[in-house]
Amino acid sequence: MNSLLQLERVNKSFRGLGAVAEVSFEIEAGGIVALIGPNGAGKTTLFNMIAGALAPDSGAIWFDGVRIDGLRPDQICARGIGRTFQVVKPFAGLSVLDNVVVGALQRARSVNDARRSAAEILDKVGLGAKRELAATALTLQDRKLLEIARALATRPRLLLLDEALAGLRPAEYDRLIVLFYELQRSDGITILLVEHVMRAVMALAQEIIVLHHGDILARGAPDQVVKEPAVLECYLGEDFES
Amino acid sequence: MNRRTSLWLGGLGTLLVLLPAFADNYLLSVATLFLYFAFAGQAWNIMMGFAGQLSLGHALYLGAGAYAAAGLYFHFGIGPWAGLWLAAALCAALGAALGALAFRYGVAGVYFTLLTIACAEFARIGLDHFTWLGGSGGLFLKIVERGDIDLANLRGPPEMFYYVILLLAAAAMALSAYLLRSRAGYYWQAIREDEDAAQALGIHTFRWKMFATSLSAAMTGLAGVFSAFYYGNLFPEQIFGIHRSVEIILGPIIGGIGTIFGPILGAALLTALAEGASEIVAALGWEVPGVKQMIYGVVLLIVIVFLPQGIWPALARKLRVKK
Repeated sequence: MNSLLQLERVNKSFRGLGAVAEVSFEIEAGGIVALIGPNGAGKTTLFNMIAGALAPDSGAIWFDGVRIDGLRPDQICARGIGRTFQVVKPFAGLSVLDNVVVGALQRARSVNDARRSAAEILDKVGLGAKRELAATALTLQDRKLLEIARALATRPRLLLLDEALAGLRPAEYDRLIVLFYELQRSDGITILLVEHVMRAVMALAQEIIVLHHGDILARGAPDQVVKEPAVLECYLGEDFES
Repeated sequence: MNRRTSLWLGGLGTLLVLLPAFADNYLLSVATLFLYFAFAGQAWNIMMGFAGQLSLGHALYLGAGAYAAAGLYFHFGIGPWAGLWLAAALCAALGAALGALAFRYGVAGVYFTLLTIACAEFARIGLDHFTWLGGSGGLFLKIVERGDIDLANLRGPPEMFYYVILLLAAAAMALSAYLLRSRAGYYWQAIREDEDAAQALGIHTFRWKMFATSLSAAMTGLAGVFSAFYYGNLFPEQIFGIHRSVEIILGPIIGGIGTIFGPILGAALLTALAEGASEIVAALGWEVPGVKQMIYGVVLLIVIVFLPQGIWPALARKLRVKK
């Protein structure tokens, strides 16, 4: 078992309504994998189960050979999975730097160590000049960057990005696409992203998993997946051109 | 801490230490009351201001601490210096029990606040019928001749009580400042701002909320011990009443929740205004019962409308000192 993340027949339903049904897949270390599909397909539910915010009804989730389903989010974070939220959740009363310090404390021995590594991460994502600002003073794009910086500060091996580009203008996409690419290439972080912006998915992902009605509809290399009739029909639309 | 902050703090500290030298008994009692509210307010502020858990039942810890220490002294002659440890431990345990109940079973927000009120009321009614500690008739500690200082049993003149509460308030301030800059402070504030995000960043939120709740409860218990020995009498109606819980939290709300200096400033302002107004009303020969509560209400309204963050953050900017 070489895969970094493995899901085995994972099920979740809410009051009888099936959200994720018998989903199994695995992700190799080092890649960027995109999870796409129409609204209500179960993408965020799947994310929440991997990150520990929800426990699966049945099935198993393995991370690096260790079973993690049913663990608390903080335990999963400690094992090396970082996540961002679809709706950004900055710590409003804290400065940009202090937001990231909270994440960095997960690995740092002291507050001073955490401040140093938080400052480095802010420089990396391009928020270095804004570190003393209140988190609430940031634009949406910067808040998304802050969300990512905070997750990175916990030094994850797997980063779960839940619609990191949603709500941004197309002109703002590229900066984040370049950042994700760098994280994978230079820092060796495996990335699993849920994304509706197909331009970003096509540019980044080495593999796409298409979810529909809580089930895997297709999976494979991007240029092949987007040609599959079933995917075009239920999600991308028949006139989609990659 | 920058230089201006140290300067202000040093000046204020010196003034407070020297106060008994030139203050009469009345002024000293007002200053003692101010420091008592400053201390209890800081204790509450750790739980609400830092960790974001709203308790409206801190009278529970006030009363539990007071009755524990007073009971030991009354029945067994064990002085408060020994009793305060038991009082603090008891209150920490009470806080932990309440916290465990609430945080384990997802009692959050308004429901958590209601639970804190319910526990305090439960204690009030329970103590009303607990005759070993005086029941509703009250528990009275023996008084000593004016001028005698029995430091071991915390029986003595107002100056002694003043210095005890000054020490407690100063220690609470140092502890708050230290904690806010430590790992605990970062974790608490993260939990206060967004618990889901905090947990996703690796924070064991249950454990840190329990820490805040127990510490806040233990410190409030000490305020209760002080209150019991300062006033020398205890009534369940008085010490466990919801008005006591509210009284404690007005200082931090008016001064600035979550700040180091806010609870102290708020306590000073409220005590000065309430006592001042009572004096003026008495001097005019008017009969206005509840003038203090009216002042509290008016000040609270003004602050909520014009300075919802409290007075201290705005004042700190004016004085150019650190918040």
